[in-house]
Formats: sequence, structure tokens, C-alpha cells
Amino acid sequence: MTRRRRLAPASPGTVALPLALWALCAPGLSGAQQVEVYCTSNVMVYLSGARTMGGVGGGVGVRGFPGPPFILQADVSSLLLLGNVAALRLGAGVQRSGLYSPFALVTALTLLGDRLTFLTPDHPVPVTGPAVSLGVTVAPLRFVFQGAEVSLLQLGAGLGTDLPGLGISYSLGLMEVGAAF
Amino acid sequence: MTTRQIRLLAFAVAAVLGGACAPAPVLEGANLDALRAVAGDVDGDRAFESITALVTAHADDTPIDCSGLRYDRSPRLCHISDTLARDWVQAQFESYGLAVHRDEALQNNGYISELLYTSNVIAELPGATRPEEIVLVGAHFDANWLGADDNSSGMATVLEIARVLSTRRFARTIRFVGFDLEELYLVGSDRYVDTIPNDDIATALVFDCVAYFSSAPGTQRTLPGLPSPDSGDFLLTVGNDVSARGVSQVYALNRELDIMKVVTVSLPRDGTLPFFGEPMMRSDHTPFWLTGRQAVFLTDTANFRNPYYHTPDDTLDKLDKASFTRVIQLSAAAVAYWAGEPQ
Repeated sequence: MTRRRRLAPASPGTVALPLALWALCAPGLSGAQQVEVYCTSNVMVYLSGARTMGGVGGGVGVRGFPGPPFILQADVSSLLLLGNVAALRLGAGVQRSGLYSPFALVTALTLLGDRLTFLTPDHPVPVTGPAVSLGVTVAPLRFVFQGAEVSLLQLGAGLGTDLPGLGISYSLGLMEVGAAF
Repeated sequence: MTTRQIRLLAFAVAAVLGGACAPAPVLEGANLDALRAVAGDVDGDRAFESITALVTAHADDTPIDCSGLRYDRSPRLCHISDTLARDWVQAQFESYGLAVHRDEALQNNGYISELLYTSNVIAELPGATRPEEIVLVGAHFDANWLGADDNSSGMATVLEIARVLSTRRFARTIRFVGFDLEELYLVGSDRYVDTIPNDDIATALVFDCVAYFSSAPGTQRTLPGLPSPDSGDFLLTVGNDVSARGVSQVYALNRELDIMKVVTVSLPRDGTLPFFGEPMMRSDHTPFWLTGRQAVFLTDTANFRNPYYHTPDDTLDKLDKASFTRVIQLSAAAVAYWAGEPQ
């Protein structure tokens, strides 16, 4: 079992994304507007004693509404500046209904790709595999009108998995636009 | 198929997959006693005298003609000297019984309109069993003003390693290189790499500024996202993707031999990053990285620690001989490890 994990490190994102997509699209969750597709631009960084990952970029995602006030979302972004990094973010939480629709989500963020690596007594060989963190994301400036969505600012923070030691992730969403179907 | 056969098959598959994927030990095959003996042969006083001699050479030298400078007209560029230091470095290599030659050229690199005479100094200790594989040890010998830390300390490190290792024989060839005109944007190392397209460089170890240390809090600056101690009392070891194993080996060797405080950073890909790349690619390891070769860079972090960097005050009295000696000990052991068993 241990060896199998080493051979193919399980990324929560690789499992969770299909599940999230299924959850968004599955029969029984349907309402008047079930799925929103959005584009986002963001800054994401993951910092630990063993590595620094992240960058600036953008991506696309889908968001579903299983029933007020709950929302589920999954997005994938491509980040530059510290090499090439793919960011997969899954979230579940609540939102306010109406024109002004801020949300708060519990998010799992997975960063894959290039990184700066550091060696420490706790990490005498370079860390490998994705950087995974669990945290919260809030969108205090989010507006929805007739199926169109604009979010001007999203703030996120989380705790990561580079054990031993602490990893912290930060994310800043600069602009997000979406449309519901 | 019986249950026993299935179990055997599963065991064989697991063994093959495990063997294929298990990482090799970082210090595979290291003879730590022999490497400890190499480190123990380093003479810090003698190496410091080399810094003194190089600083004296720069003080007595005539700076290069900077009248044709383009783009960058920093005052320091009118105080670069290399001629007397180059002669002294060559004489030292020859005194160790190494085969020495110069790689001479009249060239410029676009930063200066005139053609400049440049000459790298190259010495070799031939390998005993794998002479075609080369471990390169290099530093630049030119300097702005006196250049005690930048980079008489690096060149003196190369010379002391050459002195210690020249009394032994190794499997691989060890090539010691003094690079010319690094201060004029890597002229010597750039040309050096261009002239060796087919050389099998197993790894290169490059030094630039390795003798300025301070244990006082607040003496070390860093960049956002780069974890660093607050005091400038460590050696920074820098690599890129292809050099990451070399960085790990220096780090592991230092732990095994318990020599000094070492901090490491490995950059992704060839090291060229918009934000972190420039500070990490200011020295002679850069042409190696950009041509896909392995090169490990050792430094005291230069201007991130040393307030006298690129000033007339980069003088001998600012240097820490004890820490400098430890840098050479670690480096000599690393070069000996990469070159194969001392014989």
C-alpha cells in the first residue's frame, strides 16, 4: 500500500474534480439555473519551508447550485512567474442570493508543476508531488444579475501538507466573470 | 494459476516497480572517510593568503579601458582589472604540477564597443579511469576595485581545491577554470561554454563571493518566497532542475561531514524565471544552465548580505576566514566525491 502510494501520489484534485463535475450535473440537483461557467484571473502562491509554488494567471471553472444557499465549484488555472503551474481548486460553501451575492467557500487547492525547492533538516531531499492545501475563500465583491456574474475580488488562504512543517497557501482573485445556464 | 503463483507474480511486479521507482541514495557510494580526509587537508591560512595576493594584484593593476561602454555606465565598470590576477592564477596552477593553458580571444559582448583581450585560465587534473568525464571547478578572477569577496575569495577557493586535489588521482578529470571578465556580463564563461560543445561535463561547481559572513541578526536579506535565516552566517547553494541532484549532494555531504550552515534553493527548468531568475543567475554558472549543463553555484549571497559588494570597500578586513575555510572544505569534498574515489 505504501509503495503504491509512492508510485502514484494521489492528488485529491484528480479524484475530486470529476466528482464535483458529476455533482454539478447530476440529475436530482437540478433547479432553474444549475450551472454557471466562469473565467477567472488570479494570483496563487503556496509557501512552505520546502518549496514555493504559484504565480499569476487565469483559468475557467464551473459552479453549481444544489439549492439555496449552497454552491459547489471547481476551476482550473494556469499560472506563470515561477515556472508553469496548474492550479486545481474545488470549493463548497454558501452564498447570498440577489444582486449582491458574496460567497464563502471551503476550498481545496492543488498546485502541480514547477516550483522553487529548498532543502532543510526536515526535508533533506526535494519534495515531489503536488502542493495541496485546505482553506477558505471569500468573494466579498460579487454581483449576479440575470444570469451574469462579476466578482471583483476573492481572497483565500489555506494550510498545506508539506509535513513535517507548515505550508500556507494564499490566493487572490482579481476578476471573475461568469454566465449561468 | 494457483494462489502461490499469483502471489509470486505480484511480488515480482512489486519488486520491479519498486526498484524502478525508488530514488537512488543521494550520496551513493560515497567514501566519507576519504572525503573527510580531503576536507581536512584544506589550509585556510594558505587560501586566505591567496585572497591577499589576488587583492594585491588588482590593486597594482591597470583597469580595462571602459571608454566604449554601452548601456550600462556604472562607475564600477571603469574599475575592472584582470591582467595581473590572471598571471598569478596561472602561476599557482602551474606550481601544483597541473597542465595549464589559456583560452584567449579578442572579443566583446555588445556591452563595450572595443574588442577586449580576454583569457580564461584552464588547468586539468586528468582522470584515471574516466578521463573523458569532467568535473569543472570555476570562479572568475577579474574584480571591481580590490574585489576581496567578489571574487578573490571564489578564485582562492578554486586554487586551494586544486592544491589539495592535485596530490591525488580521481576517476574523472577535474578541470579548474579561472573565468575572465565575469564583471562585464559573463564574457569569459560565456565563451568558455561556446568552445566546449562536445565536452562531457558531469557537473560544474562555480564560486562567486564566498567569504563574507555575519552572525548578527538582520544581516541577511532575501526575496519574497525565499525562506532564509535572518543572519548572514550560511553558504547558499543554488541549482536548477538539471542541477538539483548536485545541490542535494552538497547538502547531504555537508550534513554527513558536519561542516557549516548551508541553505539551498533549486529553481525550476533552466533557472530563467521572471522574478527569481536574475538574482540567481548573475555569475558564471549561468552559461552552463542555459546550455542544459549541470552547474551548482555557491555564494555568500553577495549584495543580499555584503554592504561592500561592488564598492571600493570590498577589502580583506571584511572577510571571515573561518567560514571561508569551511566553504573550501565542503567544496573540496564535493568535488572529490563527484570526481570518483580518491586514489
